[in-house]
Amino acid sequence: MVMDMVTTMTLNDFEERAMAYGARIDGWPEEDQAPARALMAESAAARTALEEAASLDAMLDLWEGPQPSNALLSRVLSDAATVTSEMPAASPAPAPAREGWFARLFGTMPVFRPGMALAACLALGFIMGTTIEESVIAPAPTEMAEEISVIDFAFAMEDDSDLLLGPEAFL
Amino acid sequence: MSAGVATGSAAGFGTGRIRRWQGGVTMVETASAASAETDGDDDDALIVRFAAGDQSAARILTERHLGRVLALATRMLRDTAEAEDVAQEALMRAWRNASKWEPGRAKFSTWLHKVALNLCYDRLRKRKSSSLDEVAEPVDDRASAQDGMEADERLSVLKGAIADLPERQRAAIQLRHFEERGNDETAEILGVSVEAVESLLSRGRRALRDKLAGQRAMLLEE
Repeated sequence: MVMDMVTTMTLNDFEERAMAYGARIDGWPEEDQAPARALMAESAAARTALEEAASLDAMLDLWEGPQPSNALLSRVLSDAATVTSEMPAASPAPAPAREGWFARLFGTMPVFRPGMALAACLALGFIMGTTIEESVIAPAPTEMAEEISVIDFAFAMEDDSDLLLGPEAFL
Repeated sequence: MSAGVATGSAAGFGTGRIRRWQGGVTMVETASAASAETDGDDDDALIVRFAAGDQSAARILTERHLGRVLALATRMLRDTAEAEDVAQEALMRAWRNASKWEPGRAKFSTWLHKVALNLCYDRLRKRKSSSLDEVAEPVDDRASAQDGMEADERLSVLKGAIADLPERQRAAIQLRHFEERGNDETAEILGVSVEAVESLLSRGRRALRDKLAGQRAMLLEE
């Protein structure tokens, strides 16, 4: 069995709502509307209270709202334009960072950078390792002859007190 | 507030035609095609557009809200010039704070009415503190000039009765009766509870009923 959930309203509550919200029951709090209509259907006193509220509504409605003048509209829009003109200009987009030679060669994707650097280091290490090893362990005969001649020259000049030779003399 | 030089485009209003004015609600026809395309935007979207520099958004917001804000201020202050200053200042605050507006956090209309109402309270307080109690309430000359003698007398009686109400009762009646706002929004604008809104309305309307009881036949031309 479905219960009728429409609550009842006392005449006193009805009069209070009519006094507060006026005669238009559609404008009353939603939960009060159905009970109010039910009471109004059966209570002459409720109908009288609503007529009284309608009279007050009609008196209030005599005071129509003013119409905004064109001058006021212009002033308001002028204010808006002024505020807009005072707004800080949108900051320019940051200039793209200059690409270095590495980026130009290998691209700018960050994920590839460590890999590229590692590969470059390995290649450089391999080249350096092989060339240095050759020069230390087995210098070429021509290079040895050149080195000896430079040393000889240095010692030959040893007595010359005005001449100082630095390590660069051996390069 | 001084008017300043109107540099903004008021063409939309100038070419428009006010079709109906009832209870503070206005509908303005405009010839602007751009307006027709963008009038459907909600207030949140419009205030964000204005913050980005879109002047047409300001025009649409003004069309939507200026009339109601002006009506609120007029009924609160009962002075056309002061009410216009309040309406202008309230919208100025909207323009100035547009960049800080957080869509969805509050209803723009509620915020704007709250600002306008607080400006009205400030002016009413200043009137009191300026010892103007002995000076007669300002009379809306524009209304007097437009209305006939009889209608003007009726309106004057009604305005006087409303002006005698405490400020918050007056504001509650403005928001509920004239603007047909719900209890929740009225409570938010007034900064009181929903129960307090009903109490303010009930006391205010009862006071008006008692005050106007003797003039009922004259007011309603019975």
